[in-house]
Parts: sequence; structure tokens; C-alpha cells
Amino acid sequence: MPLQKLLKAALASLSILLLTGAPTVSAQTLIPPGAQSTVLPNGLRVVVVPTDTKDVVALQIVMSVGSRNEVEAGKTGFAHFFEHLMFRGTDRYPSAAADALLKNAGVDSNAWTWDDQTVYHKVFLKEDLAKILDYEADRFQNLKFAKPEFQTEALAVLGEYNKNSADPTEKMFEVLQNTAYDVHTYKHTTMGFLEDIEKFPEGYEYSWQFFDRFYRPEYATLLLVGDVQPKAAFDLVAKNFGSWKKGDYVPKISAEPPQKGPREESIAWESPTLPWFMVGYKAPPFSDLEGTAALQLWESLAFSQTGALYKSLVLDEQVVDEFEPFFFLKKDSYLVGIAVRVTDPTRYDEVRREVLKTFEGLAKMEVTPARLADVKSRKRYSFLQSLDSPAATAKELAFMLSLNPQLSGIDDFYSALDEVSQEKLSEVAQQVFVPEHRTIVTLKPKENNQK
Amino acid sequence: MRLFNLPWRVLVASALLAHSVGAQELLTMPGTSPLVDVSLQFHTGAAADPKGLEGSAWLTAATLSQGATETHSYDDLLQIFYPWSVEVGTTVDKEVVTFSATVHRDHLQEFTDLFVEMMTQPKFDKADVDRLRDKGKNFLTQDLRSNNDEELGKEAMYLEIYPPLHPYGHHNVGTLTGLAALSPQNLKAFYQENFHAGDFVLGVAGGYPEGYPESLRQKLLAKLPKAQAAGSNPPSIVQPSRPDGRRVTIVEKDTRSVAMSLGFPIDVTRSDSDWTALNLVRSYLGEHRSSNSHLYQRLREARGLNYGDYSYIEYFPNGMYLFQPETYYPRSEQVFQIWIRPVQPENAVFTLRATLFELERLLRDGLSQEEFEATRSFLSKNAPLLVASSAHRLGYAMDDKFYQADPYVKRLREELDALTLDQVNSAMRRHLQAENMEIVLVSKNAETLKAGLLKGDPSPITYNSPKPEEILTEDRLIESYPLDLREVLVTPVDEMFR
Repeated sequence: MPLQKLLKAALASLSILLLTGAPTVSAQTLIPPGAQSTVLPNGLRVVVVPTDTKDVVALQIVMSVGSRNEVEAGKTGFAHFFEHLMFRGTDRYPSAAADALLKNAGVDSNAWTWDDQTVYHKVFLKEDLAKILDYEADRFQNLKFAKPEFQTEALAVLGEYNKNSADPTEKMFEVLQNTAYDVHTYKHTTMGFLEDIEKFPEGYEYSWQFFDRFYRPEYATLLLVGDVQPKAAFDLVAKNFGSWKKGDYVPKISAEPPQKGPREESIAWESPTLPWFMVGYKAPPFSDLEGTAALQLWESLAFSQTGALYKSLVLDEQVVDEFEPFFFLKKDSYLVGIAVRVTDPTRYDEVRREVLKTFEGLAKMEVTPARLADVKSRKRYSFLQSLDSPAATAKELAFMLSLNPQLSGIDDFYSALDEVSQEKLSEVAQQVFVPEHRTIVTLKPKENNQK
Repeated sequence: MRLFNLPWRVLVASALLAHSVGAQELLTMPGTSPLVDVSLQFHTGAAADPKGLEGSAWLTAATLSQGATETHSYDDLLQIFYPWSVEVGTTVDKEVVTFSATVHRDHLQEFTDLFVEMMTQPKFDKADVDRLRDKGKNFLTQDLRSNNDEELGKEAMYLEIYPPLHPYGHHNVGTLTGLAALSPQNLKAFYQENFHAGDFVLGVAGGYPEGYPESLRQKLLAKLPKAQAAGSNPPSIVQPSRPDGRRVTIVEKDTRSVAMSLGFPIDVTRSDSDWTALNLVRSYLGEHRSSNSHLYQRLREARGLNYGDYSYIEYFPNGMYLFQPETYYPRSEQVFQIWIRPVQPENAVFTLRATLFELERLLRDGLSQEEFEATRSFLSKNAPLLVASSAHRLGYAMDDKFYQADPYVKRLREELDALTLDQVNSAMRRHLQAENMEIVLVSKNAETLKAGLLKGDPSPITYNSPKPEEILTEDRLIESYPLDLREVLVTPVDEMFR
């Protein structure tokens, strides 16, 4: 689709007013209309997005802390464990009182943790906004739990590891990251190493240090989407969170030295399984917006269902049935690549060759202007489609805000996508998709389980 | 309507809800969004799969949405839809098959022509059928048997409740034998018989132009296979007999932990007057993915046994990936189900005992006034959140149509307002019980577990931290709670879904 038509579409469906602190106007914004942001004196960033969904409000509290921040040996998985602990109550809202509040208000409440962020999310009715903010402000400042509760919660996290453990892709990511990294904290997954999870019950004192370091306003962005008005919402957030004390801790995350050669690891899977492999290449960090944008487009161009590889392996040859590219947006240099399940084990080597050839041939792949316009179009429409309810909009925006807390970062990102040229694509492919930066993990059934 | 303890084969159909719905209904929900949601639902599904060809509905539907038409290859369709970020999703359940898509109005007209083509001129190309058949086969053998013990446990429990001859007696995707036997010709015949112009519901929501829904309906009417006089009605769905006693099936596989599902059929669906009361009991006992319900509080919060514990009165697949139920799974027959997320093997027997202990206690003591009011408030305030997106509003409305029920949120809130604690507790005792159920455990070392279950020795639990006296006292009751199992069977995982 031509770019002009695209922009017209974006304009037709979206208002053009963007306010971030002082009013600014953008003509081609993907930011929902009426969105406003502010920063409280203690450093807490607040974003409010009014939508026309009557009565419903979605709240997301985005903490810039994830497994990436776990710099100490033996403490992998702690950011995620801490997310669990945030539900254990305060003096004003002991566990039972918090439960009663949320239950009576019919709140959908949960949280998730990943490498770069921990996000607490709730959806509820407008009439309960003040009560919910009071509760949230209290637990982010005055969390309290006793050692026995802490130790019990550690078991729930082990239960989470257990329920994930039947899934081969979970294991493959665990091994991929551990193999690809030597010093950066991306060496471990968000769940953490099993031996560290098993030691969580001993970490009660450390948990308070963790809270003290990271649960501070300068690490947080609070987002409200739905039936809310920005001015009133800012006041309410300031009233509740204004007393949150700023901290000063900055973790020393070791930079990963450039990878000097291909790496590979294999997994012998206990259950019968078709063979899998996962390949990842070290990618630029999110702060390299141009490089990141080029890789996002490469994912669409070469590894979506419209790419030549999918057509050949899944549709025509039918030798692959799981074809899962991963091009996640991460703060530091993470891995981009694909996980593939091969349906015909006798053709495993051939499939693997084909996949590697595709990655490592991208620098020379010709992309027509029409094809490039199509994948750019896809990115924009896919973003627009994700904004179909307050909860969905909040989820989408929270993720973007976790990488760049400025609301304008969304437009920066989509502008960068629009501006990627054929030359930039080649340049980035040449840097990223080389054997020196490659890590492969294979997963096959143990010998006695070959079926 | 008490149908328990009778063999299902001799029963007259207890519910023919879907089948009495009139032909070609149109449901419209205009809105201001630039997005348009389109859903097309046929009154057919896995329950209509011919014997020996289980998987017909799933593979037919998959070929319609992920296969070639007479004029476009599947790859062509992917290439056209891609820049619009459009996919035609398919949900195949027992009694309905639903195709749905969300499209920006910029592309509505072009999309509509292709959507009609996909629904009315499927090619049933052999290469597409083979690819999708493999996908189905691998879903059953890899994704369920190997990679997801929790979903495996739930589906295995459904298969224990619904015997193979029952229309619900196989997975929605089919069986391995059925999928292997299906030819493109079979699918074409199934399509002609079941995806016809005589019986569908079309739903359209969002910012569509005036007249759009009716024009789409007319296009479908003109081009879909003509309704057939005979042979096109879905089979009657009758309730299976309730399990006789507590039956355990251990699905044996090499795995770290033990996943559990417990359940039995109930004679309540969203069409019944007891539904709201029973739904309140469900929410109190085990609201999906919520830390705010009874089982979760007792098993996870207080004891750290696992990641979560929930209960259901409707089919709810993919629960591990979802915070809210999906639409398009309406059924004439439902199951009461408890889902216990994987536990450490050494705690499996204790956890099973604790689960039954809690269910029995609830049945005996009932909800308190306070618990009743809190849960009622939760459901009433939570209901609007379920329909906060246009696609969900449309989905709920289409499910309402199946059940011939009033609009979901309005109905739920009105009935909750009128409900009393007595009504809830008596509805619970009318429909739930703890003596007769299917219990599925996904575990390694099945024979050891079986012997332990049958022997019934106490299964004390040890903790990594001090516990309140209240919990320790209760544990002493739970550790020797009589399991009273009627039988314990072991099924190697390789025998599932054959």
C-alpha cells in the first residue's frame, strides 16, 4: 500500500493532538487522541489516555525492573519473584483487606515480568478509581510481608516453573540465553535458573533490599486508559503517589563483549517430541532505533507467513509446522531469530541449513519497494488493531513506555519504521546475521524416546 | 430435569438450543471505531463429525480459513491480507464453528469479497489438506501430549466424562485415526452438508458503513451451499451419565510435576435459571486466574502447593494463556471442573485430598452471607469488563443467541441483584456434589502413584516455613481424608487421542 494512503488512514481514524507536558502537535501520530503525560516532582511519570469506552478504566504501573536488573550471582529470577510478593499486603491493606477491596470492586488484576520490565495491571469501573489508586500507592510504598508468607510464595514460583517445564520452547530459551551470553544478565531468563528458584526461601532479607532499590518513582510509569479525564487523573495520582520517595540505586549491568564465533548447545528432551531448533543472533539495543526498526521489518519480510521461507518450509515442502520468529524489543542487545519444529526428522539437517542460509543471505536479498511498503503498512495497522479496548490499549502502550517512557517514543518508533530504506536493511543484516553472532540450540528426544 | 445416573444413550435430547435457532440470522452492533468485526457462525462442529472421520469439522474449517479458494492460493490470500494486518480466525467447538476477523474500514470492501470467496468457494486442495491434517495431528501428539500437561489433563478429563460414542466424545480437533482417514472429498461433502445457507448467524460490529451487514448476508446466502432437506441437522446432544464414584485416570508421561483436573457433567447451561447462582459458586470457589477465590487461597496462598487453582461451569480451553474466557464455545451440555495447576509429585496425593476436602466443605457449609455478597459484587462489577472490546461484545452477543438468553451483562447483573444466599446454596447442592467424578492426573511413576492412591495411607505434608496452627490442624484432617476411589486406571500418554 502506498505511504500516502496509509497516512491518510491514520489521520482519518486518529485525532492529531498530542500533549506531553507542554502541548505539541504531531500531524501523523499513532498516539491515541487526547493522550497526555506529566512527570511528578518525585520522578513518577504519568500517562492518561481517555477513550470512549463508558465506565471502564485500565491501569498499568510499569516498573523499569526485570531480570535484566538481576546483577548478583544466585539471585536470578528475583524480579519476577518480587512481582508475586507485591500481592502480599501492607499494614493498611493486609492481604485479606486487599483481597476484599479488589473482589468487591470486580477488578481484573494481575502482573507480568520480563527481561526489562515488571508491569502491574488492573481493569475496573471508573467509580472505583480513587480506591484503587489509594491501594496501589500504598503497596508500592509500604509493602509488608512476613517471612513465612515469603517462603510460601517462593513455592508458588517453583510451581510456575513446574507448569512451564513441559513446554520445549521454555527450555530452549533458557539454554539459548545461557549459551549466548557470558556476562550480561540476559544470560538467564526471567524465571531464573532452577537452582536459584529453589533457594528463594532463603532470600527474605534480600527481598527488602530489592524493594528499596527498585520500587522507586524514578523506575515507574503509571498509565491510565479509558473513561478518565487527564487533569483530574493527574491530580488524583499526585495526591496518592506524591509522597513516594525517590531512590538513587542504579544497577551495574555488565556489557556483553562482542560475540566472536558461532555457539551451539543441544537438549535431550525427556518426552517424545519432534525435533526443534532455535537460532538467535545478537541484535542492536532498542536505543538504536534505526537498527531496531530495520530488524522489525526483516522479521516481517523474511519470517512472517508471507516470507519465502514460510512458503517453502511450511506451505510447499510441509517439513515444518511450528515456525516462530522472535524479534523482541529489548533495552540491551538481545537475540533475534526463530524457533522451528521439524515434522520430518529425516530432513532436519536440510531444514536447518535452509533457515541459516536465509538469515545469513538477507544482506544480499532484494526487497521491492512495494513489498517494503506492505510490511510497513502491516506494522501500523497491527498497532491500530491492538487498540480495541482500554485494557488492550493500555497493554500495548505500557510495553512501549517500558522501553521509552516518553509518549512521543511511540511515534519515534513508527517513524523509524517508515524511514527504513533498502540500504539500511542490507546494512543491518550485514552486521547482525553473521555466524560470529549466532547461537543455536537444538532439542531432540532422548534416544529411547525416538518416535 | 434430573438426568444423572442414566446411560446417555437412552436419553432423549435434553437441550436442542442451537438447533431451534432460525436460519441466517443477522446480528449488528454499530460503533464508532474505525475497526469492523465480522463473525460468521455455522451450527455444526465436532459433535457432527461422522464416526471414523473425527476431525471433519476442524479440518474443514481449517481448510476454509487457511487454504486455497477456487481463485486464490492460500499464499495469495496471506500476501493480500498481510499489509492490512487481517487474519480469519477459526474456532471449532462441539456445536458451532465460527470464523471471525477484525479489519480496518480502509480495507473492508476488498476484505469482504475475499472473505465471501473463502467461505463459499473453498478448493480443498490436497496440499492444503495434508498440511493442515499434519498440523492437527501434531497439535494432538506434540502440543497436547508432550508440551502442555495442564491442557492434556483437562482434555483427558472431558474424554473420560464423554464416552467415545457420545457426540462430545473426542477432541475438537478430532482423533489421530479420524484425521488420517479424511480425504479432500470427505471434507467437501462435510462442507456441503454443514456449512450451508440454511443455518448461520452473521455478526457485524464496529464502524461499518450503512447497509454493509445486510449486503454481506446476501452475498453469503447467494453463494453458500444450498440448505439440504435431510442429513444436515447436528446430532442431538444428551447428557452423559454421571461417573459412578470417584474414578482416577493417571495419564502417564515423563514430567516434573503432577497436573490435575477433576469434573463431572452438570445439567446447567447459560440457558437455565440456575446458571447465575451456579456461576457465583464457581467464582467463589475458583475464579479463573484470580488470587481472590477460595481454592487459590487455601492451596496456593496458604500452602504454596502450586501456581493456581480454579473452577469452571463451562468449557474453557487455553486457560493458561488467557485471563478472560473466550467466546464461541457455547454448548448444550457442560461440565463442572476444577483445575489444579501442577504440584510437586510428593504433594500430589495431599493436594488431591485438599481439593476434595474443600469441595465437600463448601457443599456442607455453603457460602456465608459475606462471601456471597463479595462474590456477587465481584461478578456484577466485573461483567462490563468482559465486553470492553467490540470483538468481545459481538462474541458474547452471539453466544447469547445460541443460548437464547438475554444480553449477558444486563441479564447477569439483574439476576445477581435478585439472588439470595439461600438460592445460591440450594442451587449449588442441586447441581454439585463431591462423590461422583472423573479425576485425571498427569504424572510420571503412575504405578507408584496408583498404589499410593488405592492404599489410602495418610499423606502428610511438610513445609519450608512455619504455618499457623489453623492450617496445621486442617492439614491433619486432610492428610487422612478418605479418598474412596472407585478405581484408578493408568493410560500411557501415547494412547491419548487415538
